[in-house]
Amino acid sequence: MATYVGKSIKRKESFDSIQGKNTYLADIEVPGMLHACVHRSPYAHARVAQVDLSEALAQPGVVAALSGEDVRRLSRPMAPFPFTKTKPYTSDYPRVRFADHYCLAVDRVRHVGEAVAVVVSEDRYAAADAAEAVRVEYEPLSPVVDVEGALERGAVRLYEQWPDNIQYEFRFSEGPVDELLKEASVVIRERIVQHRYTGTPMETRGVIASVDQRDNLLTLWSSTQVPHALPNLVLETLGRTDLKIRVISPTMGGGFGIKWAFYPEEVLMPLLSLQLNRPVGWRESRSEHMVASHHSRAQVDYVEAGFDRSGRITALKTKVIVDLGAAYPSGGTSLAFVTANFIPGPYRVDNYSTTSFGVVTNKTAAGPHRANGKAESNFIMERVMDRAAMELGLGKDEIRLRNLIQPHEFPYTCVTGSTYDSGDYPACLRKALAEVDYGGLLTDQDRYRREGRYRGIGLAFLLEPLSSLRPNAYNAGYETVTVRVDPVGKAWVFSGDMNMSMSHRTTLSQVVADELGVRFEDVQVFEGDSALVSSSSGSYASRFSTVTISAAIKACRAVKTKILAIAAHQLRTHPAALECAGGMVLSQEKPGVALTVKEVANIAYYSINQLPGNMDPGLHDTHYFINPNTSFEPDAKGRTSNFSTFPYAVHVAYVEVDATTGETTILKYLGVDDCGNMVNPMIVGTQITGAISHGVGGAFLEELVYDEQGQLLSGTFADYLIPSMQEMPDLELHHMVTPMPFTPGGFKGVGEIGAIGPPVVLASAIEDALTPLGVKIMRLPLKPENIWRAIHEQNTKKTGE
Amino acid sequence: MQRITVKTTINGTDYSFEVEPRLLLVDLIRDKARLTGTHTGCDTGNCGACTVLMNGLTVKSCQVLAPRAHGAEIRTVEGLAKHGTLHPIQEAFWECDGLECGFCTPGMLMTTVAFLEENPRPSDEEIRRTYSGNLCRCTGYLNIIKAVKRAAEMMG
Repeated sequence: MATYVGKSIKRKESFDSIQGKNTYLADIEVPGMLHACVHRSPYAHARVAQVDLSEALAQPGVVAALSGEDVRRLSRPMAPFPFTKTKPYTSDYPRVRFADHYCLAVDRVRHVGEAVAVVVSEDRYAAADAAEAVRVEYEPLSPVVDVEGALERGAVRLYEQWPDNIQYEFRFSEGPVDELLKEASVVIRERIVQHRYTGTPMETRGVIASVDQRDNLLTLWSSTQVPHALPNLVLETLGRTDLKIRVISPTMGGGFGIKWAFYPEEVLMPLLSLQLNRPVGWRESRSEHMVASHHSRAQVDYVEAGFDRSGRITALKTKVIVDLGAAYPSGGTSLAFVTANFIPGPYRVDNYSTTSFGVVTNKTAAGPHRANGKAESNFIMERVMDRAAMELGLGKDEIRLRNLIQPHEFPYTCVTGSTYDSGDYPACLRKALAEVDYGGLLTDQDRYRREGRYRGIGLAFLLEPLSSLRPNAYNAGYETVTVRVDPVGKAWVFSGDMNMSMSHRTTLSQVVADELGVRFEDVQVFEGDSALVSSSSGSYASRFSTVTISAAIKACRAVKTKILAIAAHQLRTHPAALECAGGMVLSQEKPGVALTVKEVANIAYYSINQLPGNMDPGLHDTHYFINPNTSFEPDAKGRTSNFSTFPYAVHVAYVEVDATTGETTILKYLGVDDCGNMVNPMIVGTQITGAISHGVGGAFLEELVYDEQGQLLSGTFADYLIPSMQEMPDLELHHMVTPMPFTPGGFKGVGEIGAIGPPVVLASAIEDALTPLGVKIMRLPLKPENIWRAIHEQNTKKTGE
Repeated sequence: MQRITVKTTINGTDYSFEVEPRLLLVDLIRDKARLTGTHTGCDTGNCGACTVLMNGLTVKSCQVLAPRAHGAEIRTVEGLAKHGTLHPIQEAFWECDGLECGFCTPGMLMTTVAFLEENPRPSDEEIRRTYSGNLCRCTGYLNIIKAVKRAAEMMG
C-alpha cells in the first residue's frame, strides 16, 4: 500500500525556489574567480586569416586572451559526443562522420556565433569590453544555408575532407515498398517542411573551472545535463589524463535537451584556469545563447504512403533531411535516425523504407530537444493520416482506428525493430473523442461553416519513444543509484540526474520512502555531481522514470532486505513476518513489537556483532539498472532497438481561423495521456502543460530565421517569441494507465510528449478549418502570415492567375 | 572609468556602492548586494526574470541603470518571507505548483506583489495581460494563474 507514490505531494525543491534561495550557475561565487567573455564570428562561413588579441590584452583588468592558434597548441579537437568512439556502429547503417572542431575556430568559422577568441578579466563588464576589442580578419566564403541546397552536386562543402555535406546517413528497407505503392488505391505524396526552433531555457548556460594544483583536481561547474559525460570529454580534449576532474551541475533553470551536450566553453574555462592558476567563469548572455547553444527541429521530409480502399496503410516510404548546422560534437546526429525510425508511429506498418540524412549547413549546431526527432516523426505521419482520410472520404478518427496497433499485440515489435511496451491505443483515441464530444464539435463546426466562418477540429495520435540508449556512447543504457540508510535512520539517495525542473528529488523521495517504509521528510536526495555516483547518462529522453527510479527501487529493496534480516535476527523472528512503515520495522504477528529503522541502523553500524550470519556492516546498495526492452547489437535485419518505453497521447484541438489575417484562435485543447503509472500526478500535469507551451511556441511563435547570408534574424527574445501567459490556451487533460511492464514501478515518463502535440494537432485543425478553401498544411510554423500565404496561394491556383 | 555613488535600500537594508555609471540595477542587486534571487534571463528586457519593485512599482531591473536607483526603495524576493514565515504569495505558488525550475519565479512573485496590491480580485483575463512580461519555460503558466488567484484568496 503506497503512502507516497501516486500522491500529488508539494515539491521539496520549490521551498528554496520561492525564496530565491537556489544557487544557479551564475550565482556561484568562487573566491578569486576571473571572468571570461567569448568573441564570436559575425560570419556564417569564412576563413579566419588573422586574430589580433593585442588591443584586447591592452585593456585595463584583462589578464589573458586566447585565439584558435593558442587552443590548437594547448588542446586537442573536441572529443566526439555523444559517441565514445569514432567508429560507433557495427552495421552498414547508420553511418556518421566526424569533423575536428577545437574549442575556438582555428582556420574557419562555420556559423554565426562560433567562438573565435576568449578574453579574461577581473571584471565581467570589462571582459565584455575587451572581447569587443578583439580584431579578426575574415575572408568570407559562400555560406550554405538551405539544407536541400547543401545536398546538391557542386554545393559548397563545409568540411573539405568530406566528399559532400552529409554527416549522418541511415537507410532501411523492409518489404516490397515500391511495388505496393504502385498497387495502392490511394498514395499520399507530400513534401513537408519543419522549421528550426529550440528550447531556450530561462537560464542560459554558464561554466566555471577551478584547478587545485596541489591535488591535481579540476572542478568544473556547468549548467549541463551530462555532468557524468563531461569528465571524460573534457580531459580527453585537454589532453590531460593526468588530472582528476569533478563536474558539478548546480540547480538549473531548465534544459530541455539543449544542455545535453558538450560545448566549447567547457574546454575553454578549464584551459584558462590551468593557464592562470585561478578560477575562471563564463556566463552566456541570451543573444549568445541564440547562436551558441543548440538549435533543433529543422528538417525537410518526403513521404509516400499507400493506402487500400478500406483505409489501411500498405506501404510507407520516406526521405528525411535533417538540418544539422555545423558538425560540432552534438546529440543532433540522432535526429535523422530517430525521426526515420518512428514515422510509422502507433500504426501497423509492415512495409517501410527510408533514406535519412543529417546534413551540415552554416548555422548553429542542432542538438536534441524535447521529444528529439519524434516531434518531427509524429508531424509527418499525422499529416499523412489526415490527407489519406480526406482522399478516402473517411473520418480522421476512423482512419486512425483502422491502422492503430491493437492492445492484444503488445509488446509489439515495429517494422524498424523497436518493441513498444504496452498500451491501448484505440481506448485512448475513443476516450479523447468522448471527452471532447467530437460529434458535438462536428455539429458546431458545420454551423459556423454555413455562416462562412472557418472552424476546424484537429486530431493527433502521438507516440513518444523514450529512455534511449546508443551503443558506444555516453547514453550508455543504464542508470546508477546508491541508497544508504545512515546511522540515525535517514535515507540518503545519490543519483546521476540533476536538479532541473522535473523535481527528481521529490519523486525519488516518494519512491524511496515507500520502498523503505520511512517518512518522505527523512529522505535526502543528492544529484548533479560526478563525485557522487560512478556513471550516468544524465537527464534526457525522460529516462528518469524508466531507469533512475528503477535503479532506486532495486537499491532500496536490497537495503530493505538487509533491514528486515537484521530486525528479524533481533526480534527472533522471520523477515517475512515483519514490515517497514513510518520509519519503523513492525511485527505483523505481534503488534507492539517493533524496532525503529534507526535502531536497526545502529546495529548495522555500531553493534555489528548483532548482525545475522556473515552479514557486512552498513546499510547501503548501489544498483545499475539497465535499459529494459532494448538491444545493443543489430539484429539479422540490421535493426537496433534503442528505446525502452513508449508513452502515448491523443490531442484534440478546436480552432477558428481568420482567413483575412491567417490568425488562429484555439477554442478548445484536450489531451489524453498514458504515461504508465504516475509517481506524482500534480508534477505530471505541470510537466505536460509546460511541454504543451513549448509546442504552442513551436506551432505559432518560435522560429529561428536565417537569411541567405546565414545571419540569424531572430536572435533575441524580442524576435524569437516564446509564449507568454497570453498565448497559452486553457487545457483539459485526462489520463489513462497501462503500466510499463519491464520496470518495477511501471512508470513510462512524461516530460516531452506535450511538446509534440500542438504543431501536429493545430496543423490538423487549421487544415480542417480551411477545407472549404482546399488548403493543405504541410509546413511549419503555423504563423498567421504562413496560413495567409497558404490561403492566397490556393486561391491563386483556383483562379488560375 | 568614473565611479558614482549609489545609495539604495533593499528589503529594508541600506546599501552604498561605488559603481560604474553603466552598471545595471540587476547587477547591483546580484553582484554588489549579493542578493542572487533576482535573475537575468535575457538581454532585451523581454523575459521579466529580473523583475523587482522600485518605489512600489514593478521594474525590469536589467533595464534600469543602477544610478537611477539612487535613493530608491527596492524590494526583491528575498524580502518576502519574514523570519522564516513564507509570504502568502509564496505559499500559494508552492501549493498550486506554479513553478518548476524556479528561474522565472522571483520575477513572477514580485509582479504578483504589486499586482494584487492594486487589484486584489483579478479576473483570468486581467491576470493573463499582466504577466505577459514574465516569461516561463517550464510550467505552461496555467498553474501560475491558479497561484495568483489562490494568493488573492489567501490575502483577501
